[in-house]
Amino acid sequence: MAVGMASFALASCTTSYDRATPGSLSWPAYGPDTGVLRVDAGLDRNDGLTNAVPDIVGPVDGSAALTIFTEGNHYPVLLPLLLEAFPAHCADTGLCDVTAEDILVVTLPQVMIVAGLERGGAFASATPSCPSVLTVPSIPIC
Amino acid sequence: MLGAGPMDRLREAGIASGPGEVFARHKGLGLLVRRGVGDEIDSLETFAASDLQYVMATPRERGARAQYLKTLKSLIGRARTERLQAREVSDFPGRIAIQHRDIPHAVMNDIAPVGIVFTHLAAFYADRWPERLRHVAVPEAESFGTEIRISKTVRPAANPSLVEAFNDFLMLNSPVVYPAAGFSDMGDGQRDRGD
Repeated sequence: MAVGMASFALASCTTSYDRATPGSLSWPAYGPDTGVLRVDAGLDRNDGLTNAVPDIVGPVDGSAALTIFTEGNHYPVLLPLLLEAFPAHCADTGLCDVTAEDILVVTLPQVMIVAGLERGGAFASATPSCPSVLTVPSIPIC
Repeated sequence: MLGAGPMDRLREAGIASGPGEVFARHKGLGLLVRRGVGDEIDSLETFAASDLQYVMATPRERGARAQYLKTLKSLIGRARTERLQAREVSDFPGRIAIQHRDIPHAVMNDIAPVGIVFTHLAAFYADRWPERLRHVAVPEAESFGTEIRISKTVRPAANPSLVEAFNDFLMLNSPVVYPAAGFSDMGDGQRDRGD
């Protein structure tokens, strides 16, 4: 099984504008990880990027028991449903056994999801042009 | 979890196992408006008639952007849509081509006073930051809303029973939680099991 890259970065454009202030918005957080994004190795959690792009939530090292790739626009509904209600449902009913720490969910735009899956889980940018290029880890598909 | 077109593309590529099962349908575009600047905006019509700048999904997010433009052209006409587009702020510091991050960032940071974005997202952000943002619904855009489907991958899951359990959980709960979050109430008759 592929293992996620130990890097996560927003590449700067070389045009006239500057990079964002990453901490300018405090995004809603879901699940047990207060930083929203949990990458198990290689990420400097103090660089602010976790607060800028909280669209990969969970382990990217191949250990996830359940992985969801989705268009991102419904994340305010999906994340609490997936990371809070579903594990509680499993515990309550005994029909399944999972914790939020075992779930990986990727909530990027559809074009990024499709391109990443077509590349076997490599969610790097296919279009290195402005507006800003997003570079995200390689993610195991299962 | 994708729309019908992207899911079909993954199916044709041998990645998705089927056309997917519909579990939600959104209501199309709405407006996210910064308080104190766009206070006169109470509809798509008043926004179109104003001179306020706006932000919207990038051309790279082609599905959402195409849907917004189609909606605008239908509701306010092609010529007015083209004039409106002259007021779009396309590039700005920090733009990452992810509309559900870019739009609230831009509206809250004085980049543009109005954002065109899916109405459930506009409502969510306005509810999250009510002192700074307002949601203006565009009810006539609902007919342009699109479905979201779920499909398993062809590649075997690490834990197939867990995948089945989540699929069942989603299909049981989505008719309640998605409408409560501003999505359409589809009713049983509008759902299909495409797999």
